[in-house]
Amino acid sequence: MARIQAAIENGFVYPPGLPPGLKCTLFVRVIPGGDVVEARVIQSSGNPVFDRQAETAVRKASPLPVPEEPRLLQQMREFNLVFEP
Amino acid sequence: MRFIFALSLMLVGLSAGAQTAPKGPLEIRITQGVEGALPIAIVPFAWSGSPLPEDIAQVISNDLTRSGSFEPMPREDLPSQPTDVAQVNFKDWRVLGMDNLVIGRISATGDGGYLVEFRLLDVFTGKQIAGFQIPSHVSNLRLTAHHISDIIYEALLKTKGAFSTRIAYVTVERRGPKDATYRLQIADADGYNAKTILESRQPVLSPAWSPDGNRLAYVSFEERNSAIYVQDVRTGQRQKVVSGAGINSSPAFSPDGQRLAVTRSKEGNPDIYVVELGSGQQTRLTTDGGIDTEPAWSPDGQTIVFTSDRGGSPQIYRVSPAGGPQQRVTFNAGDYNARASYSPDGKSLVLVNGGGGFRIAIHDLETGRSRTITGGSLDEYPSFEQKGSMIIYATMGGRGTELAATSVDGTVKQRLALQRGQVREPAWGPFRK
Repeated sequence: MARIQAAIENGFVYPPGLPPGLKCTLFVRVIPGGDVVEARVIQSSGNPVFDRQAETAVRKASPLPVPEEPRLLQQMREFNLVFEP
Repeated sequence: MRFIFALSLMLVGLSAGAQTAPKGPLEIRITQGVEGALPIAIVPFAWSGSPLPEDIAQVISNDLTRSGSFEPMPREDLPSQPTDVAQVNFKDWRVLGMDNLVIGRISATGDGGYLVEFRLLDVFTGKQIAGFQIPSHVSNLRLTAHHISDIIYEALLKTKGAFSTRIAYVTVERRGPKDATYRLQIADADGYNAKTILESRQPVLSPAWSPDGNRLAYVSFEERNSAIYVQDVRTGQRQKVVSGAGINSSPAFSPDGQRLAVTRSKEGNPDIYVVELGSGQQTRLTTDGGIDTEPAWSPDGQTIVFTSDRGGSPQIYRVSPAGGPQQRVTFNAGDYNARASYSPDGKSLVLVNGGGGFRIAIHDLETGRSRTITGGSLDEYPSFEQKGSMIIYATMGGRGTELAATSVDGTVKQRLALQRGQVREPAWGPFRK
């Protein structure tokens, strides 16, 4: 989980000048191997630029470093990502 | 073994998809990101034929860099130069961490005309975000490039770009102690395509744009004493609107373009007046014994801020354009605050803060707090770009005073194209219609 966080945080770039306190939630689905097949905003921050950069960050980090062990992987197939820098 | 594994995954996948409200979805929090310029790759546009007078992709790249919000990939680092979507290998760009890709082509349509076509692509989804064909002309290629920068900026940052706007400023060319030529010029926002609209052996000062971008008000000493003129930049026609004994200076158009706030000292010391451009009627707004000058209108036209030393040192005050009580605006911001103007949203002022040199500061009208955004020792004449995220100002550079632009948070600074002679008093024009 920490590795997924790090991979996404590395690619999460947002332009200067955005209002503070933005938060959005993405629904993410991966297939075995970590390829992101769906990354969709389910709760917008209200700022389309922030939302888009969050989505881009997830796609940029694909394939995500998901666990290989099937049971652990199973828990990671779908998850929500909450972006709140 | 593998088949069963895949099948069980598929079944679990299907059932997970069928849930409408998953119980306790696994949640991962992202609490860090990089606040910085967005990576973008702008590929030279396709063109075959004799060299074009402008490198459109380079103009776009310079525009986006100057805004502080983008970091275009250096041309020498581009892995390939596709000019058609079919030629794009998105993987090449993903690997380099480019979020967006701009490609384009130019074709001649005869008689100096060109068709400029471009596409802004999302590297990670492979989708087109924006694409346009823009008719242009050999004389207009830079403006087309600036329009494309505006489109890209707005598509990605959801706010209007100001790359196709213009600036006005004065240059001074000195040939001897009493031999100087003053030129009032207008140029593109990046400093190119400068055009002289007034040339004089006597000082010209304080250009101010009308809200529709068609007129400039300015102060000219061509008749030995200062007078304020309003000139149509398209036709060159002009009208003297304020003259007479004393100082006549600092014109500022009201947001409806019908009035000018000015400084006049005919009653003994500089005071603020409002002049109706149609009737010529003047209303005096300040009467105290100190210096009141440098008026600027709020975007809603309800307030005028100005500089006054009535409290002992220059500070910013406000008054209604109809007259009445005047209130101080700057507190706890040092002993010198002057030359204020409003941001387009009316919520802050950009001004010059002094004390050990001059720097540009932004004053938040809601909180009453100021913060410095430039670090030069001699930065003056700030002017907000129409959208409020860039400011131009005059700064002391290697060749004398130059124009520079900075993003509002002060992180990106860029020198504008150098002009002949010393440059001063830049004023950023409104969006072009």
